Amino acid sequence: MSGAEIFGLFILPSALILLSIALYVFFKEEGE
Amino acid sequence: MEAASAATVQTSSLAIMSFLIYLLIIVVIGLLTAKFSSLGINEFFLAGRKMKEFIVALSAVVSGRSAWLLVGVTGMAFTIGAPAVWAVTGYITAEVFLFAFVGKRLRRYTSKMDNITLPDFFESRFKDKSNLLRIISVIIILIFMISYVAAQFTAGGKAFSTSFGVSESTGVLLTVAIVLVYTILGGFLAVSLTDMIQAFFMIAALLVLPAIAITHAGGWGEVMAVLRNFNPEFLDPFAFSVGGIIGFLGIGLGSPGNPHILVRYMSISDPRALRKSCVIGTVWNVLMAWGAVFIGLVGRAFYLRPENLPGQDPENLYPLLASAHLHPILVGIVVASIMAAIMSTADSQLLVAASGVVRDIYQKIIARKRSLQQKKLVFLSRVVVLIMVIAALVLAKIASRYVFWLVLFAWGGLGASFGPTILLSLFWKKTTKPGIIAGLISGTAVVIVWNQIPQLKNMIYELVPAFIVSTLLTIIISLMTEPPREAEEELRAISAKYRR
Repeated sequence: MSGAEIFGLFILPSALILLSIALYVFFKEEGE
Repeated sequence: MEAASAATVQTSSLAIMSFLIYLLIIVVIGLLTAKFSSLGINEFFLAGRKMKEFIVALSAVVSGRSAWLLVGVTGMAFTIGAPAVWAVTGYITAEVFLFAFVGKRLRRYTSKMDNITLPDFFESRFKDKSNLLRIISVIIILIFMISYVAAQFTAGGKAFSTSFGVSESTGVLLTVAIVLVYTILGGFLAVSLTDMIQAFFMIAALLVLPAIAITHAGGWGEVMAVLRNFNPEFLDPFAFSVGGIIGFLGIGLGSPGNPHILVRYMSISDPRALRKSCVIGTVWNVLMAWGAVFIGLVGRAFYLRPENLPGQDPENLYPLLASAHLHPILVGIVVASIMAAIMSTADSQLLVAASGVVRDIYQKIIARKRSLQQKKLVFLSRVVVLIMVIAALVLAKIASRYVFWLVLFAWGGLGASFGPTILLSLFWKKTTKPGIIAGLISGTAVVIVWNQIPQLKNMIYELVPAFIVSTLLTIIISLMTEPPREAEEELRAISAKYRR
């Protein structure tokens, strides 16, 4: 598979999930 | 892989049975939640703000995903290939930030002010005693929501007709009857719980179908070989115009303005838990979306040309591929997943439209000086849901040919009018009431006008320019007028205090 194909079908969806996990990890509120 | 000629959707009695079990679960939930939802309109329209993070995550995600995802995106990936990923990337990204930041602020503010609806929120935020903001917002909600519900009913009729061979009008009536039973009885709680069940049906179907179809094709390598032979650029997401990619990503601008998605965040018991909902909702969103894209791609490898699909329509690929590759019980689940997508969207929209009439127009304007019994308000809400259904049915009858046009029109109209105004109200202390009025009206007007001019419509999806105009006008008019004195303090009170 070419780089663009791997990006669209596998890296892009993984990046979206990682974005949500990053926000979960780095935006803990006081009292949590 | 050989192209099938004159392929048709086959549904067996086992498939019908598994579909009926799904319907039974949905209706039983309506019956079980009726008592709680009858306590008052806070319970009927917002489940008393007692929802947990898992239910809010799934309910928010599937309420925003109509049949467009299952039949629209699968058909789009069949037609244009991997560039279809841009159509799902925009809204998933937007919803990550809605869960993580916007939802928390909205939940905190609306809870503090005892707001049940978005018009409630605008009135409290801008101390509007004239009811102008409330009336304008309700009018916009009613125009677009009834169009949206009508589109869902029409899609339900088509799904019943394709899968079970009944006429489209019988299919519409069956869809209406099911949605009506659990929405009228169980209100927001039933809608959220059924949304959760429906989310499981949708994700199961969207993951199992491509996995089995790829296995039957001889593996992913074989699918790629067929697609490359057909078109070497079919799997390249960048083999698409820049304008096309921007337009697809622009679909995501609709998420912050669709009230039936936003009220999900308002219903969570602890706003801090939206951090968890963000991860759960995003995983669900991504798996469903890429499942739909893979269905389109593997479907292309099997059927090669639209002429090989029923009615030569790529939107029939999803049930067709299921009937060709899955066990009859799983075919029933695939049909259930289409109905799940339709009903999980229509039920949430009906409640939002009904709350606009009962809470915003009747309780807060017409009968504001009277003390109203909660049970009477719940009864009235149920009657209004029924009236909304009838209005949507009439529109569905008139405009049944324009189902996806109605969806995109309503998604765009709500997104362009409420999106910028809600975001600015929550994050910018200088936002003013005249600014919001300008944003609401200009967003709606640009969507309607742009949609009617073919040259403009062919250039870019109306939501994108309308969102920009609405944002600019809200900011410009706000800068020319005086914001409420309490704004700075109120926004500070709802901002999250993060650990350092």
